[in-house]
Amino acid sequence: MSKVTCNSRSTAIIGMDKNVGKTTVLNYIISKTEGNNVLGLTSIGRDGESVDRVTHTPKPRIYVSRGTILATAKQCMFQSDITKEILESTSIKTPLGNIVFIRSLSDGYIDLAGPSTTSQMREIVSKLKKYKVDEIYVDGAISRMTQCSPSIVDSAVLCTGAVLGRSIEMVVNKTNHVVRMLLLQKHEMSDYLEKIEIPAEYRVVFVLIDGSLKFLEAQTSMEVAEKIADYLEYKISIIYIRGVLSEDISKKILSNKPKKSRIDLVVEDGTKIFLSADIYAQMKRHLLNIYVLNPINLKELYYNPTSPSGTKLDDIDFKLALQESTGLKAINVLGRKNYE
Amino acid sequence: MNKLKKDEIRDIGLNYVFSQMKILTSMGRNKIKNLEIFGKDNEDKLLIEFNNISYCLDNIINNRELYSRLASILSKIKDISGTIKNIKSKRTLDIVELYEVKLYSYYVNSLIKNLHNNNIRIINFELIYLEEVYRLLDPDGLKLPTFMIYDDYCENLSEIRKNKKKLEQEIRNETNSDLIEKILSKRRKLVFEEEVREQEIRKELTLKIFKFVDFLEINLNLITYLDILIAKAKLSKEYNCTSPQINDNNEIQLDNITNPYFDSILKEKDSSYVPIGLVLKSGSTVITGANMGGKSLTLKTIILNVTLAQLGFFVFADYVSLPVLDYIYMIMDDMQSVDNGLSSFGSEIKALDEAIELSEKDRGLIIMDELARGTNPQEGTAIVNAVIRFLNKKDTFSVISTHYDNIDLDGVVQYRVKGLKNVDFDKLTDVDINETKNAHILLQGLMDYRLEKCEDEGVPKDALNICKFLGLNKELFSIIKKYYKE
Repeated sequence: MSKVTCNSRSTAIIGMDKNVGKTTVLNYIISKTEGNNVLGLTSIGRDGESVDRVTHTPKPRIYVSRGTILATAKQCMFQSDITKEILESTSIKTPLGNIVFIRSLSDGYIDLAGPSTTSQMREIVSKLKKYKVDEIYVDGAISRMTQCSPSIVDSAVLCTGAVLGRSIEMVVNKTNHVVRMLLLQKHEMSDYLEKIEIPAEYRVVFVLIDGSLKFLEAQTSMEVAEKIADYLEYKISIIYIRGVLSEDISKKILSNKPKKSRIDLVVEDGTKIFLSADIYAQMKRHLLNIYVLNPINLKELYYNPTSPSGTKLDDIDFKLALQESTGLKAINVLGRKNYE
Repeated sequence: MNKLKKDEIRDIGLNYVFSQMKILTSMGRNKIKNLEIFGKDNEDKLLIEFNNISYCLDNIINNRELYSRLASILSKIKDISGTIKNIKSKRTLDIVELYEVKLYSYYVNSLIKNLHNNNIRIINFELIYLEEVYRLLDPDGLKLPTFMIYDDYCENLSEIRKNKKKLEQEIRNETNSDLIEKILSKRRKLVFEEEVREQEIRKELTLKIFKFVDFLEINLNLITYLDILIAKAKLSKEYNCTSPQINDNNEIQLDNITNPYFDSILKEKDSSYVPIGLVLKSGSTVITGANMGGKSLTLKTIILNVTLAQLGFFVFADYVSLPVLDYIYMIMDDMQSVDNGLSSFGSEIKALDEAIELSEKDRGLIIMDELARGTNPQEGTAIVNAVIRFLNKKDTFSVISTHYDNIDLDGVVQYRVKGLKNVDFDKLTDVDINETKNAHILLQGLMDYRLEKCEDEGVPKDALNICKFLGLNKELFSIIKKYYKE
């Protein structure tokens, strides 16, 4: 995987849902570095509207310091009230106009809307590095996680909140499952798997017990799900899936694999896994363990104990439950103490 | 592309040729899909085009340093046609559009300087300096590849920004959220004022640029032209193409023409395309040859090279001499059209009618592959004979391939694919043939795809040999043989 060649550190801020307070987290991070570091900001999609399009609740806006470099859609740039210097206009298209790079010459509110594909995001992040920023933040979302994979950003923080469920238990369970997927361990054969030269059309690589390899050719993960059963009669030790690991693929493997043999399932990274907690538990029970090639550096968990609809979870109980189940430090961005 | 349909452009290998070109601007990439042949009325321009390609080859392509510098500039020039439209209708440009005009002017100027310093003189090509436009958008002479509404545009603006900055500093230092809210609301007023001023400045700039809009547009067209011209020259060098000669003597002479598209396909099979040569006269030319003899490929290679010449490209040949044509028409197999519900024969006849109508007015090239193959041989022969007779009287060059017998070739130029003529089938033992799993590959190896001029030989009879060679059922084969003798 291409790793960072420049000094600027890049972090994805991943929201578990809308209204978990992602923008507040971003503002908090910006305020921490105020003036000292040059920040580069972009987003996986549209963010920074003053009213949430889905729930119609007022949303906080991103407030940046002068000197910040932004990669955002042209229409969003017009919504930003900073004094702007145009650095570059790209040919990357979004529904809100092409992505432009601008430098903010004043403090002020901005709107972010970034590219829609992973390769475009990679291009944007590497261009931000070219502008010699110290830190890059990508405003991300769980639904478009692949744009925040370790091949693009160095680390991630996850934002969760009361909007995900009525009880602490519900929210913690949902959050914990995502954390577990993101923190899956690197497989001991990762380096070997990465070194195998595989044509792009081979979506799955099977490492058999005798060390030999089999390949499955497919265009989509749907096609992988259709074909994978045929390969499970081999004596397999590792199944390396390139691209998305869907529930369909997992179910096909579960129902066709020999009962008592252990198979390791390897994916590129945790952003490629789209599995429910139930399926994941079932897989573990059947000796089907998931690993990754590139682990995600998930540093912190931010939480919002309130939801726009009025749910309010107990701050301390929520925090402790999150920390205990995920093992990560949990920070309430609304809580004063954390600003210090 | 003057009567060639999309799939025909692909089939003859023209799309492949385009794909091998190093076109550097998006304008060039759009333009290449919509090229038109020059036509008789633009004969002088076509000659200039060949001249310019030769010139570029000698002075740009062969000067690597200059080429790479020009290529680097060209690849940075964006299509600002949308912005040009806005300027023309005096719609105030937004800041990104102004930025794009600034960069455009910068690159145009640097293109001119580079061409000038190297004494490059391309005929009918004169870019216009955009110094003034650039200066408008770089008031401080910073020569930066960025743009903003500079403070210098208006004293008022710099005042507003200073005050805004002061408030922003206050916000940074304030912790009381009520007070912050108050300062923010003051700031909002300044933001509004700033926006109004900026808007006024953008409007003024747009009106000032309006004076130069024709220059912007002329340059954009010239840059598109230059991009494609240089790409044509580069392609010519890479494929060792030659400049077509334009003549007035009712003759298309094609010496050793090839087709890079077919060649690239054949290369994958460790084979290569065999160059062919022929001379077409005004009127009809008939190409005969066995099945599998490559008649279709031959026709497509003719049409590719003639089309390229008419589009102002160098050709894939040792030598080509031809007059300027007004259209190119192709009637190929698979004419069946689902759209209009006609059978393949029906579509063919409709196309034939169109082609004949064209030939009544102008001179062009009409290519017909196995005309009327979809109908019974007796009627088919009658149709082919009639078409050959009819078109033989025209100025237009018509090439008709057929495997029908009893073609009346009186006064018509005939070529045949050499095919298997020189293969001694009696020497190939049954063992040879049966042991060869891939008989058709062996057959391709034996097939001589070159053309030879012939008179009164009729249509060759290689079909029987091919049947035998491909291992057709022996009993069936002996029955066919019996019928052959009758």
